[in-house]
Amino acid sequence: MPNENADDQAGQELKQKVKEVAVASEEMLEKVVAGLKIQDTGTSNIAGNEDSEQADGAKNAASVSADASKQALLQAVSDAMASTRQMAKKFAFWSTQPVTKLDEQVTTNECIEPNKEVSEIRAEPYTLPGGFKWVTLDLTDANDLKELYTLLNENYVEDDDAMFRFDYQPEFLKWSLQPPGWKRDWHVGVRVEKSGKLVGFISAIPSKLKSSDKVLKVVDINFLCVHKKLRSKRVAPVLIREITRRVNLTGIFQAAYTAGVVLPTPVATCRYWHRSLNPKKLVDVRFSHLARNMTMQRTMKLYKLPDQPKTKGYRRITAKDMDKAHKLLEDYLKRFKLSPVFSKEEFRHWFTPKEGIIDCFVVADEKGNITDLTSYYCLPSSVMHHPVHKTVRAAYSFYNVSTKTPWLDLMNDALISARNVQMDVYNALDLMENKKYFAPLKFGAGDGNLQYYLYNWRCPSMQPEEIALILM
Amino acid sequence: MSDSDTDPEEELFHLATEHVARQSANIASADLLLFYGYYKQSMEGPCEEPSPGLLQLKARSKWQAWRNLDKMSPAAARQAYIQKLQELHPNWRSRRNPGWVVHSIESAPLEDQRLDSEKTLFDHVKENNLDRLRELLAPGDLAELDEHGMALIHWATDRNAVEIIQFLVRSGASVDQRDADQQTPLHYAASCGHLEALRCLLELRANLELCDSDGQTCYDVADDEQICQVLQAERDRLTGSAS
Repeated sequence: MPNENADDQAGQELKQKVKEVAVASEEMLEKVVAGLKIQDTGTSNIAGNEDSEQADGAKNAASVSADASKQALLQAVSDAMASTRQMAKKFAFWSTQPVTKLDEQVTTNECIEPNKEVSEIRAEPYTLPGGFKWVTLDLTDANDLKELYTLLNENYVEDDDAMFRFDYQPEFLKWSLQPPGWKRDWHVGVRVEKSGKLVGFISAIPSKLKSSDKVLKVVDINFLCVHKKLRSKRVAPVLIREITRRVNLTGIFQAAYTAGVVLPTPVATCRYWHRSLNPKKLVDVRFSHLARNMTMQRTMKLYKLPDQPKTKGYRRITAKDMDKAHKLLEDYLKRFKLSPVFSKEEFRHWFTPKEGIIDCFVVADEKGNITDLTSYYCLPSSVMHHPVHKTVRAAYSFYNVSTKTPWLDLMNDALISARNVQMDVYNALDLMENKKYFAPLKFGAGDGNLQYYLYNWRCPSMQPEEIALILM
Repeated sequence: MSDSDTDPEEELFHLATEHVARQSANIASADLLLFYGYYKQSMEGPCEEPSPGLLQLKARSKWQAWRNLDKMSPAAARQAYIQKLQELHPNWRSRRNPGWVVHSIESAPLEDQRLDSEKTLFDHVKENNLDRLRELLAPGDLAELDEHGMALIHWATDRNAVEIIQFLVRSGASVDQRDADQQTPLHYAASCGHLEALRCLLELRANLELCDSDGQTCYDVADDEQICQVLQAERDRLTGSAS
């Protein structure tokens, strides 16, 4: 976006968007009016809907008289308008960004806009609301790290009254934000000018990503977080523009990111699955639920695991295994449509065990070949408002490769390893080959979707099992 | 990243009604009736419609739910609606409107929601509903085993429902009641690691030495260190006082 006029231009784009919304709303009105004509002859259909116990208040009223029915439809019209308005507002920002449109039919695998010369990229930071300033955090500094930890701990939440909150530990943050090639410039913070309080953050780390047959230099964007009290000031779009600018200046124009929210446009939609390791605690804190006819006694027997892993040659990865294990993963990841391409250094960073952060196990045969690999990272959640339990210890499946050990044996051993370091639950997304072991190893479906996105890259949408990318 | 022009309270109420409509299959009928009453009250004010006939059971219970709210103001009814939903589904909002962050938990099982009138004593015990149990319990129910071969006191112990255990024993249930596998309540408390239920049963003088059909005592099925300690201490105390 060409330099100083950028903010102006954003304003223009917004106006354009408003016009589009007006047109869309008119179209929607026409549709609803067309619907009204059908409804006039079909009210019996509505009245017949007696067995839905609730929310038929409005519908019942509609059956009382034609007037009331029109009233209800008017309500429907205004609801529809409100939701269109909300949608347009929601995507006002994304409609200005190089991302696939929600209704776009994609058959190619290519960038959306071409790379820019440095001279074309805005040289100075984007403008923050008054009273706030940009800072670059230094995660090697204990104070900066602590501040980031606190910001995320209190504000990187799904909902302000959610029962669980991620509790990313300071050492975890350092590990995930300082892989080989990391840049301090990409640990972008926002502080209150007067008090210096940290109230916003966004990060990028360098990576290589394979999309079908093309390998791209990308960044992974993560930890977008805005303090609760700033949510109305629309700081998130400024953070996204600013990190994009800083990344663009280094000659990188593509990014990968994940989110719960549906934005234009997911490349894939994945779902979390959960395997109880400590079912009693999970039921106590209401992470999981006992079905009506299920006893706690049977539940505990159901999830019981052997004391030690069973597979011959299964052991924690060592420094000597790194090159062989790297090769194993590299070959395996080629079969997926969307996957990272790790260098040896990156592999060593991501797969060297660190207590309470990342653990990795391999299966070695008699000749010393590494035939299988399993790994998980550790991310506890704070339990809100529970008298006894303050934390759920969760292991998240990272990358797994099975070439010789059957999936069920390998992943059962992974579960045992996680249980043996007192993890309460083992979580996995339904990507890669993970679905193969969910049912037999007693995973239950989670209630949240994770959307995968690419920035400035257009490719056909993918199934979860075609995805092999984990962002923490 | 979306704001709204409407009153936030009304907006929230609207979202709540949408959530309840979508989730109606997962909400107990008694709660649905409450929602219905609050909804009607907030949209139409106090109920002035005549009572439906005696045989129109469903219509009548809906009418009653609305009528019960008497002169509650529409605003109060909206608030009550939201509060009730908040109790039942504490994170209903996050599911509807996900932000950047996703914190998945296990999905609640989709099970048959029963009308309160269809619920058995066993259901009330599983739901830790002492009030309903107190109303409905008859002496003959105490030793009855359900299709799982369990008596009320086994379910109460399995759910760590200490007050219900106490109530059942006071009402005449045997604290050493056997299930179909000869397990006593103590077997359940020990194998589930329910410390509170275990202490409660010991206070009620439960027998530690009874074996289930596999020949195991509650001590054998205990899996948790604290449980073992409490059982051992109780054993020591009993043998100490006996000698």
